[in-house]
Amino acid sequence: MSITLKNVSYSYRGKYQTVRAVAGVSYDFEPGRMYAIVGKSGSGKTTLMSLMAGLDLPTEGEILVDGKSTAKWDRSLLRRDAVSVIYQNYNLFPLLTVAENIRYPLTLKRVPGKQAREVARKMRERVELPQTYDNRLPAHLSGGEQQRVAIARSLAQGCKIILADEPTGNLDTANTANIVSILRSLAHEEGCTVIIVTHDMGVAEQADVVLRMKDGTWTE
Amino acid sequence: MILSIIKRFFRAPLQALAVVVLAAVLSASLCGLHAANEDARARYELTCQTVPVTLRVTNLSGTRTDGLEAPTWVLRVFNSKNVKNSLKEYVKDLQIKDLLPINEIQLQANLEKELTLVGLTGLEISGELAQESLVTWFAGYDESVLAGKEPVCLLPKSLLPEGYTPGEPLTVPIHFRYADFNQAFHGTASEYDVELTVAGTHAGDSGMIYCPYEVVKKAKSYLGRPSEVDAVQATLIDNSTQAEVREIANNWFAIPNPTGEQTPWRYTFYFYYPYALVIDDALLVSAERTLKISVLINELCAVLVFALSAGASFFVGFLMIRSRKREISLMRTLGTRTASVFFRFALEQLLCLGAGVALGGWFFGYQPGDRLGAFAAVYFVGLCLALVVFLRQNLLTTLKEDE
Repeated sequence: MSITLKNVSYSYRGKYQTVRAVAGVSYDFEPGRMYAIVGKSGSGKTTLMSLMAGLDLPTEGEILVDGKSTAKWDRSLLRRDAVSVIYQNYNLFPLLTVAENIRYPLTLKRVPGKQAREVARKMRERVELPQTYDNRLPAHLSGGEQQRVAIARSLAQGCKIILADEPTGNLDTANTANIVSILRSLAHEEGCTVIIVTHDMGVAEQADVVLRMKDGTWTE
Repeated sequence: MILSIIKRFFRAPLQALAVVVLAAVLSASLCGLHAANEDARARYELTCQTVPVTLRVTNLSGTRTDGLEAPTWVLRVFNSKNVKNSLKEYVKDLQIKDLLPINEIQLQANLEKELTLVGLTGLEISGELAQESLVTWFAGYDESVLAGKEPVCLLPKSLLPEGYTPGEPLTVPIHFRYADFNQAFHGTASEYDVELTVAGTHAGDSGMIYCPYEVVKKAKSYLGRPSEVDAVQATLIDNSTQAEVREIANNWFAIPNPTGEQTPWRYTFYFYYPYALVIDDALLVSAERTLKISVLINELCAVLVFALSAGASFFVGFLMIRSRKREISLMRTLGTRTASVFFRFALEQLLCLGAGVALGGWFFGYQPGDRLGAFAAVYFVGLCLALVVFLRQNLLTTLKEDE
């Protein structure tokens, strides 16, 4: 599933001023490749990623997901079926157990309980978390473990476009390597379009394509 | 969904408990106010029914109730079973006052003033006597004797024989003599002697001797005097019948306004019998005013609690949602529809609210369904409003603020 940016711009309307976070960005993200978007804080990379995730519509231009503009998508369906997001701060439901967190997207898709449990189990195993973690709450896990749960949930979601916003930002070297390895395999083995927003050049170097952002637009 | 909500309650009980407790406290206070209000209303109803409202036969301008010499039909309208639509079924304590001039009285006191025997069916009939409250009953007597037929009387203190010791038996022999127009033709006058036992004294008008109405009635009958009474007064049994009483009264008595419009039928009565029936409910009006204020204060308090609950619900809802902003954003990010998020949170709050309201009602031991329902609705709408306000926010902006 491809994702195409066509002259995308986005402005935040504040109380006193309007800030243009993304300014006329265009690009074709192809399936089966891992992309890294790098840039300083405030360069607009997270905003761009959020637009690709369908959290809002661009103020100018359009984003095509699988050839269809995000404006024409039912954005709840877009977020549920087409694009999944992994965040730096993991964004797990604090009062759901590991297993329940992984199953959440399946519940949204009304996958029957037994089948959902089976899928969740497989995804947990894929991110190398033991079964004993199933009934733990996120607060009882380390950062690396929480990020793996977030990835397992993303995998369970079954989307072909995976966006990761600083997925290794809070992790140590070993966990970083592990997470990047999982994301690479998703792109190369399963044909997903993986886009990572990162500060970490070590992570960026492992991507197939590195895109640099400055002041809301690409730089060489 | 219910199961996941219940799981959440167990995993984070404090938040749910806060809503339950708040709803319970507000419900209980609302129940308390409602109970007080019901009580005030009940007292209001009861008072409006039972405060004495008197009916008085008066002259047509409504300025005088004494010296009317009301004919027997006035009494029949009140008192007879044979008169259709009589007022008897609406009144209690029919009080009659009748006067008879005394021609001779055998007492040692110096009689400088003309004496009148006043027949009463009760003390209340005579306003001046009741107000004085200076009636002294001799041993063995009380005001009930005036409602009977016993030949007793209340003497003015000034008429007590000199050296009389209260308690000693004392009788007052009275002689009546009535000269009507027959005397002009036959040369005879009706005469009647009666001996009244003194039951007590009063400090009122020194020319009045009070006795039971039946005594005066009997004397009049012996004397052949026309059967008329000086004043008639009654108390309504139940004030809710006032409208019916007014209707009946209007059929029998003129309206107390001589310049007012008269029907030909009424004109006949007005011509021969210039009487009106006045409903005197001054006591009721003053009692109603006091109670209305009490009910109004309770109502205002109830409105205040309602307003507070609406404000509190919005505030609590807003705080609750703020504290779970991240959770809501995450749900929406993962593709949960806004309506589903709303439904889930609203259901969760509804369960807490239901528990709180039930608890509040149970704690108070009194559950006015309509009040609690209205309260729950106001509270719930407040919560939903807060939820809607939050869900309408831009998701991207919300996440950015969250960072």
